[in-house]
Amino acid sequence: MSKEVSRRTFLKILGGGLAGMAAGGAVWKRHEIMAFLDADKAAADAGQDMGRVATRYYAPLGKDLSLLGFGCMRLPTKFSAQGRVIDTELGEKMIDFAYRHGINYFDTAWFYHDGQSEGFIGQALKKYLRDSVFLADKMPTPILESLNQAKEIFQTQLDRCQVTYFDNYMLHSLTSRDEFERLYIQNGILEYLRQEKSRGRIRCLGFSFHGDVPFFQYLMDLYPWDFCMIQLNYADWNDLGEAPSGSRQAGDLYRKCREKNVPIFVMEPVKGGNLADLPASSAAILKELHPDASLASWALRWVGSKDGVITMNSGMSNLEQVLDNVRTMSGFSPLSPAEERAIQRSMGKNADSMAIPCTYCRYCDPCPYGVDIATVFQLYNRFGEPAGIDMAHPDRADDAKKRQFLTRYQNNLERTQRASQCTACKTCLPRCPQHIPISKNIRAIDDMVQQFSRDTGKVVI
Amino acid sequence: MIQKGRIFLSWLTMAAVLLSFGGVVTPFLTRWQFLPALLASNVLAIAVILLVTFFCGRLYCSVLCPLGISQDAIYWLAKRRKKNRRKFTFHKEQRWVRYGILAAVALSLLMGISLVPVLVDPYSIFGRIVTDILAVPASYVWNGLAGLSLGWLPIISKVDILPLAGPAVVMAGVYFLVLSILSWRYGRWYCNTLCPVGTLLGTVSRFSLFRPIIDRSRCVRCGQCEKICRSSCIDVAHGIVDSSRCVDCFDCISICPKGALSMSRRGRKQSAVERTEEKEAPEMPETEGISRRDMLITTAVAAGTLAAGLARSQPLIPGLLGTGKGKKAVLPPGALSLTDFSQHCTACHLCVSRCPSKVLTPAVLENGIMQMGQPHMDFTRGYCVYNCNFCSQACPAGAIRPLQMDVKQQTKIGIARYAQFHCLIAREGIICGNCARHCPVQAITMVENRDGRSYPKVDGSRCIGCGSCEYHCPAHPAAISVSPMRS
Repeated sequence: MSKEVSRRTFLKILGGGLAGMAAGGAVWKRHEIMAFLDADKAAADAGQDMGRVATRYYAPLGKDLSLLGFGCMRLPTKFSAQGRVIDTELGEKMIDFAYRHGINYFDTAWFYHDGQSEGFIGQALKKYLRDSVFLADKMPTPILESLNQAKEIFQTQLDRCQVTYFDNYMLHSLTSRDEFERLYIQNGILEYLRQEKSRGRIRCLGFSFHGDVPFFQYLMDLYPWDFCMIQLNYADWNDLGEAPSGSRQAGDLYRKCREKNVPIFVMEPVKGGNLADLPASSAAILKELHPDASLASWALRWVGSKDGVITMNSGMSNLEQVLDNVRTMSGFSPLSPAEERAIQRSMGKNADSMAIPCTYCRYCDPCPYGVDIATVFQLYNRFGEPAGIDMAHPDRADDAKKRQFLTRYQNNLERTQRASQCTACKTCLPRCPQHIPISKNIRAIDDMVQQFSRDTGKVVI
Repeated sequence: MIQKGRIFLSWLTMAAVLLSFGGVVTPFLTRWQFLPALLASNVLAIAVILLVTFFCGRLYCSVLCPLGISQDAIYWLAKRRKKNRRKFTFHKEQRWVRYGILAAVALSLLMGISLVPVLVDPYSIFGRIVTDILAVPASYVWNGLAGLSLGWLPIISKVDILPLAGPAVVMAGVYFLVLSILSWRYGRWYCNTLCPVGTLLGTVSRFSLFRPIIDRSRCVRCGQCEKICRSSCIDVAHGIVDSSRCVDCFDCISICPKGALSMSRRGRKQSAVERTEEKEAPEMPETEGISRRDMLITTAVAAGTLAAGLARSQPLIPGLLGTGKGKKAVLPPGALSLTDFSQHCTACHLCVSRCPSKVLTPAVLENGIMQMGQPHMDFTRGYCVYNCNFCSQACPAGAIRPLQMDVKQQTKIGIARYAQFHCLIAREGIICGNCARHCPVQAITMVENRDGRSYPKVDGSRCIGCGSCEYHCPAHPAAISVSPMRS
């Protein structure tokens, strides 16, 4: 009970924060951010359960990792005598905020903030138990020359982070097979890292990837990686059989990972913010189905709905994004089929965007219980999903939409033809040339209609 | 002028009542219908109607009674159609029939038998004609409109057209035909002969303060008023108007070429006239043609009817004939018991008309002979929708008491019983579960049996008897059905 209330409070705080920011302009001022983070901490200290980001089981460690990771690439900075440095005070408060809300995966690298990032995160995480947080670091591939240099770098990284081991360690940014073979195979750096893994200073060994599909397949076949980090988002996805082009290869990478059963860590789930800023026509499609959700949340939920994804690291360059991401992931629910199709439509793919792939051929007729299957499907395909109604989330539609759909439904079907007559006898299933799970869909539409009827008071039986 | 006003008001009433039956507006004028109001102990309505009648005669019959207005409409058609239009002549009232019927109604009210008032109450007859007959073509027209609007905006919802309730249609049809013919030929004959409300109000209007009075000094005895009097209550020869039968249509006032007829205070003008013209009317009957003894009897019958109606919740003489004492039936939420329900219901079918699922339908013998024509619940047609309390809000007679939505949703009207023998799961192995899926209160759960299949199980404490399970059960007969509550 109290959990329920405080959870709502938490979401209200986040919501209020976002609304405040939207009203106040682009970004909060530093003291405002500080005040917000302090208020959040005070609420947590007062014993309110703040709700936590969803987690995923990570088999190589046997632990649950937060679905949302904290990337330490774009921390708040300030000017000082040494030039631009990390704003430690604010940065630590943000880390604490993330930890309070269940984020336990922190991702840093040699290059981030010119090497300051590792030192900062090491300092910031010191107050937490080492096995309650998961730290990822990376071998800086572009500057590597020799094995000894690699050993030196690795030791420096441990020292900077003030830890004795890394939970995840990656070969940073692999882009070409030549480079990989020269550095990691011929110079023996991969062999060295494997030794470090057996010594326990690396718990899981993987790589972050920026190359092409053949190189990826070669890598995956080469060595039993504990995990890998790829760029995965709905805009970069290519379907099976669709040739990869440019960055649009995530589908191939993903399928290879699933084939090898390698856990996936995701970078650029919002494609560098591009998917949070869609053209108006695309955004309208998504907004219609779920008016309250941010565009970024669609991208994050799309990634989170993919099996095998453990954690996604989103660049959190300002508090607004952090709040939105935490909010999305705290109440995480996978995308419904209708939402998936809405994303397809928002990208201009109309071919396979029909809610129920029914061709109205009526081979399913006659239904032994009189249901006019094709008409029910047609009504949903024409006036349901395109009007912003989601079978999986009927409660999201507003009253006007519900009433309109009910009227269509009532006007086009006799009582005896409606979905409520379905007994799930499955007579229709073998007759369907499109292999539609008819009774499942019919019953889902019936449930939706019943709920609309309850919600609006418009009687359709 | 006054006649135009009467016509205007009657149109308004007709529109309001028809829209109430059509489910477009919340019923309000139906609560002001005399017999239902009497049965619902709606003292305010009764008092107002009686007062108005005492003041200016049976205005109720011309502007508030929908059956009266319908008869006026038919009479108007008859006037227009026939070139050689019918001329009425003065008839004496059929006193024995009038008061006999009123007495029979009073007696049956006392005994708690509802069939007699059901047969003769004007508003209920009108309601049945609308619901059982006129609604059918109206639905088709409405659905046609809905079909036309389909392409643009889905504004109009079609109504579900269900099979006709045969006996009720026949009964309403007979009434419709007979009353049409009667009013076509004899105007308001029904109102002044059969209608118990007309008779009862007539005993009051006999003494009404204002009434159409013939100024004999102006009257030239042209007889035009007598010829158009739809109540046949103007006796030109004697220069009197029988105000107990006059339905305040005011036609005579507007047709009189000499302006001799007017709504005037009782006694004053007439007595002056009588004094001057006593010789010309030597056989003037005593006070408008009724003896003092008869007057006492009729007044007693009328008063008795009022008392019986108001005492309806506690019938003075216990029911003798099938009033359903101890008998149980599934009744709409808001009905107290079969006895109470059938004693109040005048079978106006307003609830039948407004029930969106059409689970309410006129009974033939389902609940008993005395409940014939009153609504009953037929779960093969529909079920009592969870968030609907239309019937209880509509009932003008207090047979279905008004319930707020939250109370209605907790009101048990019956209990679902499951017969596995008929169930699709047992017969054909189809795991249907339609009853459980559609239960609005989650009273039905699918419980796994020893044979590994899931069968519905009713939680009697949760079940409200709405019949959603029975309606949605694909088996014939339904494997799950609603029975009356035992207690």
